[in-house]
Parts: sequence; C-alpha cells; structure tokens
Amino acid sequence: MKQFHKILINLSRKLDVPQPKKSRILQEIAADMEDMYDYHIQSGFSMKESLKAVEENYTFSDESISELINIHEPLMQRIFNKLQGQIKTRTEKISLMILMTIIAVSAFYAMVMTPFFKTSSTMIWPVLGIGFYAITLSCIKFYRLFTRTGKGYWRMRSGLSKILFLEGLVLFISMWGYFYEYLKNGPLIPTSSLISLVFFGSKSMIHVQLIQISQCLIKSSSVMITGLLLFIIIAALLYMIVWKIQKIELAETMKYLNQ
Amino acid sequence: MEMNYVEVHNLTKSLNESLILSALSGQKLHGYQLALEIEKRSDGLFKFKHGTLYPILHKLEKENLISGSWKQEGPRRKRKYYRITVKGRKRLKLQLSEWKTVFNLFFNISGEIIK
Repeated sequence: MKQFHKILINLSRKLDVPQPKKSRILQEIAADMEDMYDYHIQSGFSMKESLKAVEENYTFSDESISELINIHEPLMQRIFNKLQGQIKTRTEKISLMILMTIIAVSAFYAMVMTPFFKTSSTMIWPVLGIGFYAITLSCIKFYRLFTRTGKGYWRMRSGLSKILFLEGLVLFISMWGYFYEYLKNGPLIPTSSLISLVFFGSKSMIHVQLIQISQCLIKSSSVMITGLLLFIIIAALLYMIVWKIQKIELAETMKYLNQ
Repeated sequence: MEMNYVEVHNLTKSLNESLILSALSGQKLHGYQLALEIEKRSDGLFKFKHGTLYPILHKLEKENLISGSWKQEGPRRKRKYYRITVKGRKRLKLQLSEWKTVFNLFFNISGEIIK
C-alpha cells in the first residue's frame, strides 16, 4: 500500500472524524485502492498507468469529504452542535449559564436538605466534593475522547492517574469517616445495655443510648454508602475511558501498519 | 405505494442509491467490486468516481439499508464487504416502482416530441 501513501495521508488530514472510525474508513479505501491497482496491472497497464488511474479515481472532493464527516459525526458532537446552533447571541449564552447555575444550586440544595444528608456525618462533604470533582474530570475526558478528532491523541492518557487517585481518596475518606463515627460514639454504648433493654422501660438511660447507637450507625453508614456509590460511578466512567483509549490506540497502530 | 411528486434535484442521489442496492441484492461485495459490477452491468454507462461512492455506502449503512462486515484476506488484507438488509430490499422495491413511474411520466411528456 506504500504507493498510495500520499493519497491516504492527504485524505487522513482532511477527514475530521474521530478514531477508530477514521482508521476503518482509511483501511477500507486503501484496500479498494489496492484492488483497483491490481485489476489494472492484470489488465495489462503499466505500474505508472495503474497508479495514475487509482489517483484519478480516488480523488475526494470537498463535498464528499464533508459528507463523510457528517455521516460519521459522533452523536454527542451532533447534540452539542445543534445546541450551539440554537444559542447564537451572547445574551442567550449568559441566560443559559444563569439558568444552569440556578438548576445546579437548587438541585444541590434539595439534595443537602434530605434527611439522609442532614443526619449524616460531616465527613460526607469532602467525600461529595472530591467525588464530584473526579466525576467532572472524567466527564470532560469522556467528551473529549468521544468527539475529538486527530488532534491531541498523544495526550489521551494524561489525567487518568489523577482521576484514579481521587477515586481512591473518595474510598479512603468514606472508610475513615465510617470508622471515625463508630469510634467516636462507640465507647458510649456498653454492650450490656442491649440485653437490659428488655427489662427496663422506654424512658430509661438505655433508651437514650440506643438512640445514640442508631445515630452513630446512620452517620457512619451514610458516609460509606455515598463513598461507595461515587466510587462505582467513577470506576464505570474510568472503564469506558480506558476502553475507548485502547480502541483509539489500536486503530492508530493499524493505520500506521497499513501505511 | 403511490408517489405524489418527484424532487428533481434528488434524482441523481436516488439513482446512485438504487444502483448500489440493486448490485448488492444478489451478492456480498466490497467497494471496488461494487463499482466494477455496476459499470459492467450498465455496459460502462454508470461509472462511479470512488470519492462519491463511499459517502453513499456509509450513509446506506447508517440507515441500515446495507450492512458491512470485515473479512480478513491474507495476512495483511482486510476487506469490508457489504450486503443488502431486509430494510434495504424494501427500500429498493419502493425505489424501483418510483423509477418506473418517473420514466413512464417522462416518456409520456417527451413521447410526442420523439414521434
């Protein structure tokens, strides 16, 4: 396929399609070019004439290339382009940003006011903060990988260790919060009190201690549940990011091997 | 299905689609074979520039009218073969009846001039 190197490189530069689709298109075209070349050689044409015939036939007009780009445009990119197309003026952009901020703040406030967060340990806030930061970083990475074309592929793996570190930190803080709450309130509860409850009424000291037990359990388990949930979400995002990176790397390798 | 009107500027595009679907209706072919097949069947009348072939093929594939599958041929060669789908056959049937109507109408109009 070396003889078609120039045509393929030119096409690759113009074809603004994300990997691995781009490599597949180039691979398909390269294989067909080879067939055409072989057909001409077998028909009695010289190598030079065959190559010329291939070059003439595989000239892609700007219209054809933009058609190919449109067909293979990722869904996410298409949605963003449509949104961008609808929001044109600066006022519209600012209005949208204000609206989004209000929605985000209201959602956060509503979440914080739920009994789950009201009764939970203070350790839940660093867990939530770090968790949401890691999710935001993952989403940005995810968007870039699924929409970005040729530029910046060499930096695909940058930032992954940071997300992984934050994920670990979420798990560590949530576990630490769990044990912290347990150790803070645990010594207040004598083990004998659980058995004594049967014999004393509800208005005893044991009743108060039981409330402390349940509060301690709610506080510690809510941190743990939140931490684990965030851990799973970040892990799922990381899995998809790594899967996509591997696909792109494989496609890039195939492209260079074929060329 | 009854055809109400024909968008003239879409005729070439529609013709290309019909030609590709027709060529694929009996066999699996890759891009170059497809172009050759159409050229052979039409005695050289319909010649595809390959630059225009791939956008049509990929568009048809995206619409699930044809489906492509990769086949390894030799240690380094990999080909993408296309075949028509059930949806594609239905579309072809519809397009052929549309073409029939178009040509009938065309000859109705131009018939008097030919005489």
